Amino acid sequence: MSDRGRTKVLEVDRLTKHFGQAKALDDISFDIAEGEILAVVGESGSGKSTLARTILGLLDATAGEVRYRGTNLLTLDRRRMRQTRQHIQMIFQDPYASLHPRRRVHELVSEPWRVHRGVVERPQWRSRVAELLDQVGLPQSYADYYPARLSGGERQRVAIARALALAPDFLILDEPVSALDVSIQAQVIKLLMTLQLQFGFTAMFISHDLALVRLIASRVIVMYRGQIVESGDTRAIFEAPAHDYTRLLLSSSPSLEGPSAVESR
Amino acid sequence: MAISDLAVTRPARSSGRIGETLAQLSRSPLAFISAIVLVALVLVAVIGAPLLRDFANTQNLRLRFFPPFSLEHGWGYVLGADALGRSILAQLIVGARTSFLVAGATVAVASITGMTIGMVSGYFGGIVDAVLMRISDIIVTVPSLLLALAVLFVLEPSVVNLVLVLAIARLPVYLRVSRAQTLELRERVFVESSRALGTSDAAIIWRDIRPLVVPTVMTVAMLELASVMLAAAGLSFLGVGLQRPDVDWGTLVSEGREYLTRAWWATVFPGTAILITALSANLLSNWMRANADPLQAAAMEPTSSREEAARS
Amino acid sequence: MTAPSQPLLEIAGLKVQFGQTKAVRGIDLSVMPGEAVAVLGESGSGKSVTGKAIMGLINRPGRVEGTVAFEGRNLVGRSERDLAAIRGPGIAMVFQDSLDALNPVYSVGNQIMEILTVRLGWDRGRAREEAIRLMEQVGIKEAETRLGDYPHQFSGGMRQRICIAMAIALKPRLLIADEPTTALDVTVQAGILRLINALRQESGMALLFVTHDLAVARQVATSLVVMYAGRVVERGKIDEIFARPSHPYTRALLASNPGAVAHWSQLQPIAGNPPDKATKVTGCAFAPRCPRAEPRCRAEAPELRDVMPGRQSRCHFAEEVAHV
Repeated sequence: MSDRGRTKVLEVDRLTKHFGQAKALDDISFDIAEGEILAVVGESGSGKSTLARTILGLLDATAGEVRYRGTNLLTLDRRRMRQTRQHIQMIFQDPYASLHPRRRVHELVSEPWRVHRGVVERPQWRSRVAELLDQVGLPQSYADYYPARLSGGERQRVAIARALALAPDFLILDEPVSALDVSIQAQVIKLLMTLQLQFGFTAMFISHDLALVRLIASRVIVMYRGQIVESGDTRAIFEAPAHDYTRLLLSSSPSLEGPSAVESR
Repeated sequence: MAISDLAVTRPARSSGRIGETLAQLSRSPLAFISAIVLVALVLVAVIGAPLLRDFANTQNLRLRFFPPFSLEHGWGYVLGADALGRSILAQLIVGARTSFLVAGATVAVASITGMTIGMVSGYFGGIVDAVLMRISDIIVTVPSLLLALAVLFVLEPSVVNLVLVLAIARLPVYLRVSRAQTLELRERVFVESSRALGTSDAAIIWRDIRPLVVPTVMTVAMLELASVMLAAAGLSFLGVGLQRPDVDWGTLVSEGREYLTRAWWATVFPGTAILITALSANLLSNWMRANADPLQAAAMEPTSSREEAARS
Repeated sequence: MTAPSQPLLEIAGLKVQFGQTKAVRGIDLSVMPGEAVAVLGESGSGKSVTGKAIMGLINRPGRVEGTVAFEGRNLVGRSERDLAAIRGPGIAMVFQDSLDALNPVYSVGNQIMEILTVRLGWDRGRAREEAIRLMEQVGIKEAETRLGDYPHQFSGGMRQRICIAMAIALKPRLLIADEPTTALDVTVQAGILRLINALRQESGMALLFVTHDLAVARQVATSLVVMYAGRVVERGKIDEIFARPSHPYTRALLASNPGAVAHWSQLQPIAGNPPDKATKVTGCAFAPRCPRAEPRCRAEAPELRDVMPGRQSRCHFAEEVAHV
């Protein structure tokens, strides 16, 4: 519980989002401390993606507050929201869909500076892109490529470079490796975690992959049908899950150990 | 492989893209011929028309209904002469300029306006979208020829009025195409990703959506070029189009019709010109649709198989 | 199972090519009656194409070479009529996308019954009884009332169960499952895997389970075939391979699996990307990414060879890899 005393980067308070009758998010409250990686675990329909999009203001919340370092994002005017977005970035699940097909890599990576003027001046763009590509382990020559030429893992690296371009304080990772090949997933996870160590950003890691969550998150919240059913320290949850749904998730997740988990029901 | 290597090592963007397109074009004989025909017609119209304007309107009653394919009176009358003894060839060339000007301007005005409204309408949705789409429905339900007929009957039939009326009539085509595509594009993750970055709506429309809508609109515009030319011809034919000394192919067909039994050439040659242009534009448009983005297609090749596999 | 029996399915030198793209560069594998074999590979490894090739589902311009012997008879190059007789009672298949696999305009009951009336000549009453029994067997509650429902009225997991019901309707001797749980949630996936295991135990049918997920393969299969770049690189008993992989790729896959380590820093990712299917591979296809590759690996393509009892590996240094 070493996180408790630290500054809160994000506080989500009684956040609710309805789509018509359906409650996609029902009274969600949690917070993330500086430098922490919080995992949000759930299956399709749990509301974990809606949560990310509501925090970023891509969807309008029905009720509740999202405070980023004390200021409520949901009541900010457009100008202030734009400024705040500089500090909060998101990496999407499918790198085949999240990069504009008609832009070259250097345009994609420098795009954030076009939106947020003054962060990096135009003459420095080329060299700064080169630096970022280097940080995500891509060769300089990729700057002139279109995404179509890149593999899934390489595209996700471009997306990461783009997200890092504004040196964000808080990063939302929406299933960042689940669309990638198994042999590539470990590469990208290792890269993300190394960058986290290097830059110290705070992150919310959305995933359905418990094995992965166990490796990288310090705390976990488990979502089911728009509600948080359990939250706590990663180790505690994995060792002694309190909620039935968490237990079901853990027992369903296939293990390398053998078919015991599947046979036991 | 060689193509994709070229595309990458060449940093000069625009020249690479044009060269690429030409290389692709030369591989499709039908589209290549169509492109050459269109370019030739435009060149003839641009260079020939100003020189021949006076000659085209010169009447020579001794040459009334002079038949074609005879060099008795020089190359000027090789395609014969009309009821007032004017050279068909010269009129065709002068008419080409007007026809292309009218069709080109109409398509340009209609496509740019239609695309802009369509993208805005599709992107924001809501009440603006609903109103715009109903207006477009109304324009579609009124036959465009009838609309043009009514307006031009009231207004003076001039090139500008003709262009405006035709452009309004053809607007819904572009509006619908670009709106439909915008509706699909705005749900794409890269648009969401731009929004997450804090990009303004105007910038998203201009930088994310427009580059992907333009190729489709261009394809439609090529098709429309031909049909606008025919519509303009139809109006001239009905007598509310252009008046002398302005002349376009439609006017020629319309005037020649009266003497069709005595002098078929006064109608058939301008008619053929319209047909050839329409056909070329259609063929080229088909090719453009199949080949929407040659650079992209070439760059895609090495990884396309991998991508397919990843998605299957 | 008695050891020296005839294999149910024996694939030798299978190659599938689409134009210049070599999807499968030469596969050998066998499935004994009642055996459960997992085919493991990443995207582009040719694993799904292999499944389709067995069923004779590769359409022109795809070219298939080699032999696919089912109960001793080669299926490659057979007429569509011969293949149709084998599909169903011989080999049945379940696909990844259950929504795509079912016809949206017919009720699921109709689709199951049609198989029975058309293939077995049953009357509708009898087919209906059997359809209900099959739906119950695959774990659909209130099967009788749900018979008239359409595919979109079922959840993804339930739809996949219906696809399985259709696949087992004619009691196949071999079931090919092509990533049947990839599109599903983990809790739903667990149910489907349990179902497949239970059906296999009841009926004794053999299973060829195509997947990219090591842990999923472990849940359903007793034997494992690891594919890389259109070739089999290792095969043997799954628990033995997991305990002692004899190909560097298999070893690397296991080491990069998040389930195998306690902290992210212990993950050992595989560098680089799989080779392009269009490119010609000289030497070992994995050599560019292999931590222990030697000049020999790049020059000389290794053969798939026996390295220990019941185990084959396509690596020059298989013995050393296995004994690290």
